[in-house]
Amino acid sequence: MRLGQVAFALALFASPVFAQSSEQEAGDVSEVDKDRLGPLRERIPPVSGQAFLKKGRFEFSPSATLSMRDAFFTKYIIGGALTYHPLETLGVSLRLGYSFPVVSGNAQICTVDPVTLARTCRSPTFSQVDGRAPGQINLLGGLDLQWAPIYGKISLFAEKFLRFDLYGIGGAAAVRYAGPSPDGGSTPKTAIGGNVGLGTRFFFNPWMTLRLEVRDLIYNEQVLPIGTSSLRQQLLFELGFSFFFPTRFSES
Amino acid sequence: MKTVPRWLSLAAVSLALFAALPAFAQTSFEGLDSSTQSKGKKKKKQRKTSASSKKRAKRGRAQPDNATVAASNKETAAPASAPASDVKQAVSAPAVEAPKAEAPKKPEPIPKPAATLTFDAVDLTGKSAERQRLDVAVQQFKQQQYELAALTAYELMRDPKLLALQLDAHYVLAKSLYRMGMYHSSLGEFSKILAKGPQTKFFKNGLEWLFFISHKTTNEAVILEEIAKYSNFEFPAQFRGEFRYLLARYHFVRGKALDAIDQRGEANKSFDQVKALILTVPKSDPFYARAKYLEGLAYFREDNAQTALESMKEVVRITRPNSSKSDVEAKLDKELRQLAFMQLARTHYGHRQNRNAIYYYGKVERGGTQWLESLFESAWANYRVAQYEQSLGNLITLAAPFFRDEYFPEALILKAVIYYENCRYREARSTLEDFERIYLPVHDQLETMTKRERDSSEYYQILSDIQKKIRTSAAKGNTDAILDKILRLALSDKDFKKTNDSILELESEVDSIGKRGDTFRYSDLAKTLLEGLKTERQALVKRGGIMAKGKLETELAELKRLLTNGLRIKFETTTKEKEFLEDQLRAGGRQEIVKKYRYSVAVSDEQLYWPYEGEYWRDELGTYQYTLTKGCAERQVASGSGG
Repeated sequence: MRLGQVAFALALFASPVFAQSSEQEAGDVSEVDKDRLGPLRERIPPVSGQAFLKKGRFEFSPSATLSMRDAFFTKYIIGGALTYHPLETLGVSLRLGYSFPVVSGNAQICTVDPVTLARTCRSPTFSQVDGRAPGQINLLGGLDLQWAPIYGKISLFAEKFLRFDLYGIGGAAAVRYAGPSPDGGSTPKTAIGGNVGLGTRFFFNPWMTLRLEVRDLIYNEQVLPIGTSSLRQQLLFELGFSFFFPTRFSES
Repeated sequence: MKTVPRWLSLAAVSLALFAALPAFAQTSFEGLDSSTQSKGKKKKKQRKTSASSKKRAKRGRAQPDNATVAASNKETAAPASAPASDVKQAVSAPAVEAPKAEAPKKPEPIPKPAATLTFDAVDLTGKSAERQRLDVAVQQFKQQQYELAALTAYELMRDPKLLALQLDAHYVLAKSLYRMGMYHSSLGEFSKILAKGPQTKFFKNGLEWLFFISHKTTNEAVILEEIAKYSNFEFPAQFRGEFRYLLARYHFVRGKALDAIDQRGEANKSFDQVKALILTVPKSDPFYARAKYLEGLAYFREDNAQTALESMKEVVRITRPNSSKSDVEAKLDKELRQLAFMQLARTHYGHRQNRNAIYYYGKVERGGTQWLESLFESAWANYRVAQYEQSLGNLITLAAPFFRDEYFPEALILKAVIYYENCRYREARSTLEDFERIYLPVHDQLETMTKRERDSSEYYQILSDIQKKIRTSAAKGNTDAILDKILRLALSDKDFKKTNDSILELESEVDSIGKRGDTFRYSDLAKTLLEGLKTERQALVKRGGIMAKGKLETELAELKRLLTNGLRIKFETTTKEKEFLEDQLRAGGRQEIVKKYRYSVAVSDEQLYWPYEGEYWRDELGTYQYTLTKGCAERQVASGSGG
């Protein structure tokens, strides 16, 4: 895998510095190091004529999101994001998702038989946890900033070659969830939180990409007993396709 | 044991003291320019120095003494900004001159009192008022008030009463200008000092300063003519190698110019001088490698390929990377090494030893100044040995957006020829269309520029205007591709580029005068300097114009030749296509013009395969190999060598 930007390269090639200097003394520098040390580095960007450029384009990205490591509710979120990329490495995105929370397989209600003392567990029904267990998200919205400093390509068994970028996101999120109701059951509540995450796009053609993202949604949720709240971290895995508009671009 | 008579011991002590004095004077006067005119005075001054050397720092500017003169001269002989080697040279140089300082034996005449009351009152040095005025300039120089020092020295120079000290003042002026970063003006003043002849006291130092200046200016060639003027004089030992190399360069440039106007006989003499001078540069000299390179070029010109190759190989040997060299030396060596590789490759290519040529082209540093040239020329060498894929690979690098503005018109012709050779007629024709689209406007523009009879300096003016226009439009992010190409084309002539750099440097020196304080800016000195710079600029512009004219005319002729060749290939391509269509008609449409080649993307263990899909990755540049997947029906693989 080759990366277009400095950060990874520095990390990857940090160790052989000593070896390089003696190689250099011998007038023998490997091809990879030549790029790192040579004069081309001073005047030429890592990539040009890029197969995919984002600057000045909109990205519409329908996606399916699955929550991870849920104790009570697994969320299946259908949604989308609209991103504008004012710069090649920077984007601003607005996201919206509708969630279908279902009782997680991890959630168990266990009872102990007073006679035999045998312990039996079963999955609770939705109504048993509705409003009582945290993480019952119904609606998600957010405004994120995207920073994509890394553009690279990857060789799959030296047969297939894929271009990708790596990005980080961070921003504000609004969460609509079912919180505990004093009357029992649930009542809709809204919380403001934040998003941080990492994502990657694999470029198929000049206008379409596959997008993978892992995000940590952090928000403060009201829980039982009434009047108390707890900070929740919800890991979300998102998979989607992105469509870029305009569909063509030119390298400036 | 014999006792020594008292009178004899006294005499011995006196003799010892007498012998010791000059040695002391030598130390004190380190860097002082020995004078033949004022030798009598110096003797006395030297003695004073011993007493006053510690006090002089405390004294005010109104009381300069001889020690100050000595100290400042010592300092100036080793300019702070001059390279370390210069410092060494300067410090050791006066040792040669010092004996002159103690030569006079005549008693010194008692100096007349100063003409002004002020000086009468404070003059404890016994110096003349004139000398004191000079000392003021020297003191200002010592205190790094170079503008003031220059102005004072200039005033002294113009004072008819100070004829005797005019040269000293002139020397202070020249040094001050150097320290002010006005190297061309300084060179002008040193030239005038040198022109006064070798018998004058600052002659030797003046020669040294020429070298200091050449180390500072973008183009060392500005001092070549000065150096050549004094070629019969003995140069300070530290600069001898450099001097001989520069003199050889002078003859080399001269020889080239004579060749250009078909004066072969005179040119031969110049090149013989080059070879003779280079023989006198010792191997240990830092300029040896550069000298050898010139020698190689001189032999190459004579078509003495074997000796030329030996010279270039010697350059490669000497310039091998070595950690003991300073950064500056290493950089110079690196550049020279690349040039030597190029010359080795070209010599082999010229003798149709294509694989040797490819080997040396491959040695040129990736990304260096010679790299693109080497890729292009190597593409031709590869073409000659039917390594079409490598050849086209090199051309892919040349087509990268980073090098879009580089001037390689022949690259497209070569590409068309390779496609033609591989029966890829459509691609050949499309490449030729690209060639015409890009270079026909350049040709037209060049023709417009050169067809009118113009004064040579007008040519430079045209290019200078283009340069300014490009700079302005580049700032707006909008450049004229054709004009840009023409400028780059002209600048591809190294001599012209250097002259252009000198002119730009000179212009910035002119501008720098305008940015100085009012006292300096509106002074008579500034006016004189500006006039001198203007004259120098005119001379350089004229020279640059001649070069530009020659270069543009040559390139126009070359472009015409390429366009004609393009037409020929186009014609051949069309003929082949016609023949093929006729054959296909005869065969009832069953005949194929091209067929798929057998090819593999397998690479050696040391390499990685990445397909080129229009994207240019910096670390891939220069490593491309084009895969001809189809070609002439009668062939099985693309390249004669099997790829």
